[in-house]
Amino acid sequence: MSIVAPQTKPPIWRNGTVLKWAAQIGVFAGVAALGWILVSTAMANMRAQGVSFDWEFLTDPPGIQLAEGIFTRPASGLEVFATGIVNMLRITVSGIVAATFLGVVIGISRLSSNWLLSKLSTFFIETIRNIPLLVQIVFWFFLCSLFFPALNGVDAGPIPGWLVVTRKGISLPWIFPQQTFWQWLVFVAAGVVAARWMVRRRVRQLEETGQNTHPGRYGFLVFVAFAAVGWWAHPLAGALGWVWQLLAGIVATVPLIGWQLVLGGAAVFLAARWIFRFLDSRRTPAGLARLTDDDYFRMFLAGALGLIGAGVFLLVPGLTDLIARVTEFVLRFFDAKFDFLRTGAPLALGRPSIVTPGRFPQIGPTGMTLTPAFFGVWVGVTLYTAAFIAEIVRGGILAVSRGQTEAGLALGLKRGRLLRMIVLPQAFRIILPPMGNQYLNLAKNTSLGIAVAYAEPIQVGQTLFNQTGDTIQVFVLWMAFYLAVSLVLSSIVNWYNRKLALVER
Amino acid sequence: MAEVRVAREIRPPEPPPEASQLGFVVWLRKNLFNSPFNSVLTVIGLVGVFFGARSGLAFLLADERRWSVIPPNATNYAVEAYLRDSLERIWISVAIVAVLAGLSTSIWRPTGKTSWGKVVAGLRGFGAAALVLGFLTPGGFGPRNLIMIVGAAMIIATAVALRRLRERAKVETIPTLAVLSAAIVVVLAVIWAMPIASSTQIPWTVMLVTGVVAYLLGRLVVARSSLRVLKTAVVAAWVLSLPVIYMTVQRGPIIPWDRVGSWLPGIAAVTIIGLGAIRLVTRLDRERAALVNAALLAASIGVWFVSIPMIVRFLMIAATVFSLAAPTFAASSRGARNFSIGWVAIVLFITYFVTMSLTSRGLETRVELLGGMNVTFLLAIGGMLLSFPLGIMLALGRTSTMPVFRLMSTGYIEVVRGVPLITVLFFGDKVVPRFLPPGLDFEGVVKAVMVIALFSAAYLAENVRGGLQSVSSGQREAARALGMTTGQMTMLITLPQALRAVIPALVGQVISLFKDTSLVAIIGLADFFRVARDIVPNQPVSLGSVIENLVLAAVVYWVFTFSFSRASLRLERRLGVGTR
Repeated sequence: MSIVAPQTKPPIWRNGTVLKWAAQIGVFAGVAALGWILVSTAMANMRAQGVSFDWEFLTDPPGIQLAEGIFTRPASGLEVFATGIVNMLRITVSGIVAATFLGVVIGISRLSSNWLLSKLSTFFIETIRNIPLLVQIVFWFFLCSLFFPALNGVDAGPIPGWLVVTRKGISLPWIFPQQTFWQWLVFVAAGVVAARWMVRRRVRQLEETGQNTHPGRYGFLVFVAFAAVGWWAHPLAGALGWVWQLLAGIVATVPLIGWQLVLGGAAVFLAARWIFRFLDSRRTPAGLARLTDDDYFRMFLAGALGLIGAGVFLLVPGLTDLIARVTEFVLRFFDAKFDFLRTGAPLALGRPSIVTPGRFPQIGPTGMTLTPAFFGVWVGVTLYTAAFIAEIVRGGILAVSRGQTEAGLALGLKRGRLLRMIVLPQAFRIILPPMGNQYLNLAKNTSLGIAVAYAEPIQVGQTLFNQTGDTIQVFVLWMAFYLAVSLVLSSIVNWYNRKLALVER
Repeated sequence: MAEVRVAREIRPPEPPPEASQLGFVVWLRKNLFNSPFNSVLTVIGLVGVFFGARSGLAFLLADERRWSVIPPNATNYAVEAYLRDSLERIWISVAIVAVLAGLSTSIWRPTGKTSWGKVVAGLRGFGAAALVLGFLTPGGFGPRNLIMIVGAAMIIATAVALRRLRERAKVETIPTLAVLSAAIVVVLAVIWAMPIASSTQIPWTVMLVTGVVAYLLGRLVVARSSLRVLKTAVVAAWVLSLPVIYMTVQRGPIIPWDRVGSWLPGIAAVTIIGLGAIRLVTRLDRERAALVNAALLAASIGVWFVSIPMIVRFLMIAATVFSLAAPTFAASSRGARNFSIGWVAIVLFITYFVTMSLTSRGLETRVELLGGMNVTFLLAIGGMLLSFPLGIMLALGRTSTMPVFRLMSTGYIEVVRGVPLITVLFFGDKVVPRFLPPGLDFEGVVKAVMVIALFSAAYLAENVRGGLQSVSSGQREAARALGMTTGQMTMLITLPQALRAVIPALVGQVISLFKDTSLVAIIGLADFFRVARDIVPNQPVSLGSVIENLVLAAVVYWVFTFSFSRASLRLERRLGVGTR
């Protein structure tokens, strides 16, 4: 006798799928209700205080001055943020380069057979890693602004005219882009493309013939040739100015409703394409695979997002208008940088100078001047990140199997070459993901500049909302900015990571 | 072509030379001058160390540095503006910690051992460091020579000791407890010999003695009762100590007894409902248990629509959660008993917590009551304790098979990880008040603890997720095969293994949380860093002592984080993470 389970459906309160979805929808509804209560409270609060939620502070004159940056007397809230963002990017980009270099050197030194060097690196890492970054930034700032030599006269600095180190700031010689820089940049970009082509060709030859065709050298020569020709021939690229002008004209003449339709259609199209591709990916030779809850949810979400996007574009003309205006602004910006008749060297060397506009001497604008606040934040985040990168590099090198080193030594490679050609390339693959995290941390850590009044987005945002009281809007802008930075940095790292990843067969 | 040599026989490798045969010169040649490149590096390094350390020391020890302003400000660093006539409350807090530390030492007896050789070598290193420091310190006679003489004496003494001890130094060991006792004696000696903090000589002595007495009492108790119960009790006491210290001891709350009294019937009723529900749910079959749970769920939603004390509403939610979790934890009769005890304890704790949250503090101050190191500890420990459950929940949500939970957890984690902590702190400080009804706002410290916990939870969740992914799917399948529910599988099989695997990462997260607490200085809380950066350098007696205070802050944070990371390394070794 066999027991046959009755083939009835379970009742609805015992159906796993139903229960799961009920729980999820219930929790989501709870969170949404909480959010709604909070938002309505905030709106009631603002109404009671007579504050309105708007974005006018972005275009109104803010009535504040900034310590340093591209607009020290900004004319609008947008310029305030632009200044903060550029200041932040200055530290992020230069800090990433310096921290990577320093971190790799220290990480390798820690593994050195030289006892003194490895102990010194350990000392550096353990000191820097265990002190809060904020303490370090404030320390470097005060060290510069209180203890560096005073700015007494025109002959200031360890090397007058070349390097000026004072309490008011540090000034270095620097190569500054000139009026024609953007035109030259077109040639440089072309040089990069051509050099890539040359390297690939030479590598192919090397692989076919087995003879050293020096791909690196040839690529470099091609690049230098393009850059050198461009140095004088750059007015030719000025013709691009007409292209920018034409595009900007098109953007300006198409009516708003046209852009709304285009953007809304694009949102729906992208969602539809995603859904179809997703369905395709679930298709097996035997037909469409069984879709899980999760799959339906994803398709539903993609469709809903597409429709919501289209709805927003169609119903909120302001957003589309903003996008069109920003596009036009960018095109006009490029247009202004290109001119057929513009001549002269694209780059010029600027040396530090001391000027005395009033009674007291000041550092002139000709060199690259770093304020004490910049110095503090830059040195702080660079050393801090370098300490973490050093540990990552050390871990990556140790993770490369010892057999690789031994095989390299057996082939007669010297230690330097061994490190450069065998160990580091393999370690790099392990190092890259955590290194990307450190870059992200560095970008986020620049926000500590507020402690030394460095004009980065947080500091300028705080100054702005202290003036206008628009805390929520400023907070939204901060979130958007930092999330965008995270997104961009992590997609660069991910792209590079995919490129480096072992091709598995 | 190179000649190929083939070994005729395999000889065992020669034993390495004895360490004592390797002289100092050999060591130098092997470690510092083993190749021309390394020799150059060594010379450059030595010159760099010499000039770097010399100028650094010259800067730190210059006549203009006013290190003497640090000791008189000790109370400011510790508690900042805390009422000076109520400092005994701080000492009571320290005493609570001392008692718990003593008890814990007696229960989890430190089993580690240190060899004499290591101790002597440590002392030798100390002497060498003193000698080098004295040599590098600029200036004439004075303390410099004293330091150098002490260093040289230590090196000679340890060399003699090592020669005398020889083989025994490697074998004979000192128990950690002896080292601990010696440390206490040394601390006592320093307290009484140094004049720097004479006002706290007696309190600190009392605290140390309290800890030792607690240890001895603990030994007595341990000998007579069940270790398991004691361990649970002490862990619970540690968790409770934080709210007790910061909500009761240090705030001196004015408790509205009549109001609390009016809650009692409701609290008692919910307690009994919870007990009954746990009993019913564990006894009845699944269908009827589900009915009980559904009734509780409906009741816990319903109480929000009738006029009833807020605490009863919270307790009803807790009762529902306990009833839902009962099948997971209270399957056996012993489990059911423990679970019921846990429920009563949670009721008491929630009652205590809500009562304390609703009472105003009894100590009158113009500014924030808490400050200094006190607040740094509160932020670090409170943030850690709160972020753990939240982080685990987020990790479970992110690895869940339910898409809405996964989307919500992933969204939260990625957004929080994408923004710097300072924006989140500003969110708590400036934005949250706008979303709350007028008049309802929390104290700055409370908000900072919550915000730090919310921030840290996102990072913690990623660490825990790593652990969850490291648990092999065979474990889950085995749990399923045993007939476990999803809840039992998660709580009894997956999570314990996942958490054990990521202990190093979790400690790293705690360390970075501790360092991150310094950011609250930016939003105006008087934590240790703000005291050192702003408050002390602006006092008349210590005006302008910025660099001194910053160096002090760096050293203090360094000592804490460095000891955390060393402790975590030991813990890692003891748990054998990564070696299995």
